[in-house]
Amino acid sequence: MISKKLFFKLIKQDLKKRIWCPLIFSIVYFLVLEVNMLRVIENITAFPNRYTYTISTYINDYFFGTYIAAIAIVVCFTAFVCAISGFSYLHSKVQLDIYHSLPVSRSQLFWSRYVSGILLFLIPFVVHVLICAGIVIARGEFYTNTIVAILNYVGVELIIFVLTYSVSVLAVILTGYIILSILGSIILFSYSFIIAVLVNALFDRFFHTFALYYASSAEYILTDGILGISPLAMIKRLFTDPNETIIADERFYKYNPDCIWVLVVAAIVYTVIAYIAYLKRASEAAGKAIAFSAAEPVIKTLIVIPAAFFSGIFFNLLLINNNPDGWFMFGLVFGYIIFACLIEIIFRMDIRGIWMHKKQFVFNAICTALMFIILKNDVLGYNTYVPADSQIQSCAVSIESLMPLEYIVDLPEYKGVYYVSANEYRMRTMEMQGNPSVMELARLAAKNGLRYTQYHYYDGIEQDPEYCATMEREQSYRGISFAYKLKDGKTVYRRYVIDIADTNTLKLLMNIFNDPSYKIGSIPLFGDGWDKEYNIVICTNNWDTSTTIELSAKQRSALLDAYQSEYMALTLRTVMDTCPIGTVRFLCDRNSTDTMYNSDTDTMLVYPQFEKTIALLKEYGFDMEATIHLDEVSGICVTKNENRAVAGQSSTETTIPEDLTIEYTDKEEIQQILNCILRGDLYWPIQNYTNFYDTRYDVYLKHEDYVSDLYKYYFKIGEIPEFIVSDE
Amino acid sequence: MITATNVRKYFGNIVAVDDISVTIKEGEVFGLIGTNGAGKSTFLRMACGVLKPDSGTILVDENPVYEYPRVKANIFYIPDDQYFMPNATPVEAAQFYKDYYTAFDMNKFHKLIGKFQLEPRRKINTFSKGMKKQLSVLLGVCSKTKYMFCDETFDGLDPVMRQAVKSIFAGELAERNFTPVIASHNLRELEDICDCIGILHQGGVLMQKDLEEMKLNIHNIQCAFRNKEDEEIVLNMLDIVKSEKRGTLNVMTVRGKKDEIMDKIRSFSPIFAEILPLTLEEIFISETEVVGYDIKKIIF
Repeated sequence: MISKKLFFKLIKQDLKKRIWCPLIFSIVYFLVLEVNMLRVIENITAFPNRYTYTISTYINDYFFGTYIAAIAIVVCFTAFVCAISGFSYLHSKVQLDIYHSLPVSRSQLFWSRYVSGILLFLIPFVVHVLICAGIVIARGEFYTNTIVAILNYVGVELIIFVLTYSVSVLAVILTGYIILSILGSIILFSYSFIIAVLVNALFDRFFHTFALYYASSAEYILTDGILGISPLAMIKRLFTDPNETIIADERFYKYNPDCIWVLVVAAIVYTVIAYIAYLKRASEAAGKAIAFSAAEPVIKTLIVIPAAFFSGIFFNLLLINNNPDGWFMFGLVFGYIIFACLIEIIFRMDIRGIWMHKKQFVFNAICTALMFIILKNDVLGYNTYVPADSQIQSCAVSIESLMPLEYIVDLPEYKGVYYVSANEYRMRTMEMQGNPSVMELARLAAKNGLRYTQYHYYDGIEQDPEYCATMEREQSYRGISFAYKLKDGKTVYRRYVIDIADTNTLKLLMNIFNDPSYKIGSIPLFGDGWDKEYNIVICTNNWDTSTTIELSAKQRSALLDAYQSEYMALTLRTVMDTCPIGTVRFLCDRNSTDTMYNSDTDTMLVYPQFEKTIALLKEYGFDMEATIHLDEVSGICVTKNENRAVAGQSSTETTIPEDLTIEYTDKEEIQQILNCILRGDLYWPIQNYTNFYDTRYDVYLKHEDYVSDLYKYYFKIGEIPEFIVSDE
Repeated sequence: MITATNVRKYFGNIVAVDDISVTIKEGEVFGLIGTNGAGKSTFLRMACGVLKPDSGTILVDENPVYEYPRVKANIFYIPDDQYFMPNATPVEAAQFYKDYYTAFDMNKFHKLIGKFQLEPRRKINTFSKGMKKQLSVLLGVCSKTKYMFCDETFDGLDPVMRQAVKSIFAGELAERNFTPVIASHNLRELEDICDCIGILHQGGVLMQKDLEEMKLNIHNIQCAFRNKEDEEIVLNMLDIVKSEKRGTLNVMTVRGKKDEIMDKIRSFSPIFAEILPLTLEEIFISETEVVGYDIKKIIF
């Protein structure tokens, strides 16, 4: 009898009551839609050369595509406003007395308000989008795909609105004051995301073995699983381009359509929760901080404890080098007291309410302290965790700083080519099995629990005996990462510090490096790149900049086989004791026009032991062992690196400092220098595992009248000519 | 008929309504009086479906109220602190209620609003408190509901308007099946209009009776006796609610029939004895005094 007709009357009433909402929204939409569109179109028309795209592309791919993400921020804001303005009557006893005494069910009241809130957003939004469409028509840029783009645009924004709106409505229903509703909306909107950030930060702070190796793994933690249930995480995931780091043609990323359904389901779930909460909400809850008193202590705990830990991290970061544990504890205690009191004041709206819940204050304080103790003392054994052999399916290892080349590889889960670090590639692809040294080294590293000492650097620290002793001791420390791929499908990552001065550690490390499965999992050339048709190889030696050789199918096969078999036989001992003599880089057809980004792998080292490879390259026209002729060098510039007292530090300077540079033009001196220098870029991939470069001097060759700074050279350790030292 | 049975309502640890059982018959004007914080407003809010009782039942025409729009369609509630839509005019407010109460009589509203000299197109937020109360009553009357709950509605009205509202109520009572339930501290006003009175104190009902019956069963007596012995015997024979001695004069509030009380007193040949009219206010004070709500304890 009352139902449908009344329902629409209620919507009409509510729209009339909140007429200010669409008016404000209209002004905002006008600025961000019509004005913005006209501004860009005018710019493109006036300065076409400044833009890499046309008006049509701008409208269809950017404005009604990529721009969805920017407009989503405005949409979220409108959702907050609609929810708070629509349901804040629940906070007013006076209004509740009227609305709840009227002959209308709470269910109808809820849905009428809910729907009118959506209409308050949708009607002006659609009107403004249609005006934009009118502008597009007037410009003669309206095509069939524009209709699809517009429908997509409105659809996605509507879903984002409903999700944000339902969460905000829930926050308003759960709280009793406007200020708490706003805070509640923000917290519900982003809680899981914030907690994910905190967990990440705490693990990073307390567990020296904590590591994330996927370039996207931090992203994954923030947006997936239980920690991705907040709308912010979902929306972030929707608009995060999984291929954003790819080196590819410029394109307009819109959104991930696979995530849309997650948002739809979440919007429905949050709406249902809000509806149930509305029905259960007692009218007398108006004016109370939290409508459901049973939830109040839980909410306080969920806010105060994370806030205290954030405070701890803040003070820790602020004063990282001065007693970090002490400052963390100070931040924790300070943050806890401040937030615990603040939340009580907000909940009571009375400063005298600070100590109203002493028991809860103590309880939360104990929980915070316990969590700190657990984290600080690693009570749960995070750092020492190494799975049993019986649990392990396979294992990935990355010996850090040993040939850390960067790769571009196909990642099926992202449907495209992705730019990954060596560590990430190894963690993803390597599957070592049956090598007992792997787990033995993991257990040893976990047991030893080594870590680098953090120092607050100051002038003169080098004279501090403790500092010097520590540096000396830690000179042989190296990082190594493990991915334990368990039988239950989980992958557990750990990063350890090992001491390669320890004979047993080094032996185990060698066993790992020498294992062919380590090499196969380390380098795409030996993994998924094995079957690729490389038809170009770029070679360099100690003196030559680069030579490109086009390979026939037969040559390619022979060269790859030779290089692969010789690389497989390469031992860590060889790497540590032998200077590489050059590099090779294999390229495919598809990328032959651009040599910067088109290889599946960066440059690969060639050692003197790679006899077959060297012979084949010589046959194809490149002599890896060639020496430079004295006539080719008109002079050599030697620069003293005063700040590089410790061997192993690399210079970041890009220009040659003339005031510290001495140029040698005497042929005899040049020959002496040429006899004992090595190319710098051959050195950096192995710098932490070799000890035959003396980096105290940078050496540059001068060809005729210019100094080539393409390659930097270093002296072999212990072979610096006398005249260089005496000329200082 | 409204039947409340063992109704309880807690606000946190506070017992707002404690085991109230009341019956409000159709067609009578029910006055709900009580001490501050007695639970009058809470009871009305439960009776009109705003609040849900924690225990007990409130039935309106034998149906529960909470979340029953059909039952609530027979109830109009005027809270102590009225709310109108922001910037609404009386006409818009009437339209608002017309959406909910299908029997709302718009013609009658226009007629009454003219009589009460309220401007139909003036914004309600510029009205005085009393004018808002007048408007609320008019809206309630024009909604044509069977029950109308008024919480302190009469308190803000001037004497002329009070009389006008009373006459409207009288007209409605004569015209149709109308049962106003009026909670008020203004006992003199209730006395004029109410048929039945319920007295609430500290969340519970002290008594519920027809006003006339109530007045027939409690009396204010002034008497003086020749000697103390007679006085003591008489006082022991009477059901005294309250007594006070001013010199030789006894001023008492006594339960019982008027004739029976006077017969008992006269049998001892008092020097002086007479029955004074007892107001509702005096009845209220007397009844609440019995349960410890003694004005002397509060003031002195």
